[in-house]
Amino acid sequence: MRRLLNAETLSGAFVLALGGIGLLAIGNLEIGTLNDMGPGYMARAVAWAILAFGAVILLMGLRAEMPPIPAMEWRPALAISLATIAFGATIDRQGIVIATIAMTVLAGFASPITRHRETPILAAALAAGAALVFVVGLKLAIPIWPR
Amino acid sequence: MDVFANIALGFSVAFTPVNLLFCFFGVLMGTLVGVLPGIGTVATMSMLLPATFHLAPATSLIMLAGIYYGAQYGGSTTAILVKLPGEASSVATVLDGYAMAQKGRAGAALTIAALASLFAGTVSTLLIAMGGPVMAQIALKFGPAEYFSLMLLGLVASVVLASGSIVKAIAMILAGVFLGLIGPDANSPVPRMTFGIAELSEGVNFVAIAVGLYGLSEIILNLEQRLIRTAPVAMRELMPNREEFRRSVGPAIRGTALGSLLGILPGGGPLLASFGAYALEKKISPTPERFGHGAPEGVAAPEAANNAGAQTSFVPLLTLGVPSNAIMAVMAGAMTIQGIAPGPKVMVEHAPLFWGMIASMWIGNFMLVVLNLPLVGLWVKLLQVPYRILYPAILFFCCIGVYSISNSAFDVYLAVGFGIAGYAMIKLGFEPTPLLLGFILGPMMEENLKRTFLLSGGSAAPFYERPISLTLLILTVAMLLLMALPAFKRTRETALSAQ
Repeated sequence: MRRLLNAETLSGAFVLALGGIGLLAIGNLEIGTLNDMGPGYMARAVAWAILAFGAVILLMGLRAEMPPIPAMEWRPALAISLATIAFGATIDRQGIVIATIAMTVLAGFASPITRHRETPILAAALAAGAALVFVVGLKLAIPIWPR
Repeated sequence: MDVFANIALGFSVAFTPVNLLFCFFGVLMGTLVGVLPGIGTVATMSMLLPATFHLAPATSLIMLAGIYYGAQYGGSTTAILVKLPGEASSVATVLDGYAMAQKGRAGAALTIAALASLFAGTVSTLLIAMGGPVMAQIALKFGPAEYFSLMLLGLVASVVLASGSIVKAIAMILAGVFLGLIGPDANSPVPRMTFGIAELSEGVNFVAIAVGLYGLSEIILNLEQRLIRTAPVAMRELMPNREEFRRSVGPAIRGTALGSLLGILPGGGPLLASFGAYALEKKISPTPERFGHGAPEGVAAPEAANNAGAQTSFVPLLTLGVPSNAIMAVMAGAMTIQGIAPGPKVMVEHAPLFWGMIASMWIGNFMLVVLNLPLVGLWVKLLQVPYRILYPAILFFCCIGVYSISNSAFDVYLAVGFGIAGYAMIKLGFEPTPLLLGFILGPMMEENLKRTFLLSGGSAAPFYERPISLTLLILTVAMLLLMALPAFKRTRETALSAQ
């Protein structure tokens, strides 16, 4: 039996989901007429086109033997996301130094290539550089220390 | 005014000390960005946008343009020396550039790349100088129907160079168009399709998408592959030998011609140009089997083409006001900051700015040859920084770049979302570039579509009755048909799978 769940059917499902979210976002936006298009006219056309292409990809995946779903490695994806979120969550109030240190420490967990004894030095260097170049030098409106 | 008077005016602007300094700063930054993978041109230029507030319009555009074409040079350096294309447009150079380096001809490959780029830069600058005014004349005839058809052509063209499935590429374009429509709406005060999120009322932040799709997902992919730096190849001599030089001349000329042409095309630019030129050389070569094993033609052609394409991709922006790729969208943003509306009037109303920028490209290309050949050792040193040190630094640049656009933590989270989605998408065989292009062109297409139907009272006649629009649409259909041809499909797959 052919695998129903393969890279192509998953891709199709992904695109279908995008189209579905699109339609949800559109809600009941006004369509208007061809000579006076409302805000929902083109958006709706595009969302339905996305759905159509999603269906095509899905059906093509069902029709023939396709490569299996590629293996995903979640460790780097998760650690990099958390590191970035930590940066966003702290920079407004805790300042660029703490945000950069938090980001560097979390990012260190993304891969076994990291040498954790290097992390403190790297974090300190990045934080100092960040504060000097971006806040002192380029004068971005970001606090250096917690406020 | 004739061409020479225009060029003279341009040089008088570009040769002021301030403009020379910022031109140098731009190409230096560009080289750096090109050398380091993981920091994109788009993110760098966007990050520097706030810094251009205080500069004169010509100065700021000269600097930003320098970053752009500087990155083309830097990207090829790493492509040749460590098999890592710093920029997507140097992917085609990797094949033969790195193969040459392994044979001990790294220096020769670098020189060929630099000289081919300089040649292409010179010719395409002249082409812009001569062709720009003509294009601006044509642009004056453009109505909304022509603009819509042109952008449609651009989107379809971008599918040709997306690797993998055409259906998936089109799905990505559509997703990009939809993302572009989110937020402001010309007809109503209420932002649309935002799920009530206030931060989206001005639209999805372009930089968050670009950094997420290109920056974050690339870090994740690199870590997954346990990216281990290939040691840079030792260099013996910089000069190509007679044979290598002879083989490079033709490809450089053809690459320049093809690159200039493909750069003008909306959706085109250096990426399409470099792949196109590589495929062309392989096709017409009597010995195609040498390609991929260190053929100098495979370095000269894509390098000439990507530089020519980078230069001429300014043409649609400066004459039509239509940015043909993500980087041109940033340039359009920079012009708007300076109070200049991109479009056919730039050449007339801001003649010193227009010609000054063009002249600066020529000067910048010379600076790049000087920067890249003697200083190549310095760039190689930079590459020896191990990835475990480099990736947190790149991640930091991604974070600060997105955040500093409007000091918004929301944009940083948005970038995370696009990073994860981008990672999953790339794994499933989707390409981010069509999405980005759809995002830029989508809102403009909607605007022009609306206007066309408003003017015609709901009739589609303007699209096929107006000759320019009809021509553009015929080209679009022809391109779609071409892609459906099995023979073309195979060529495209072999050309692109070469990556």
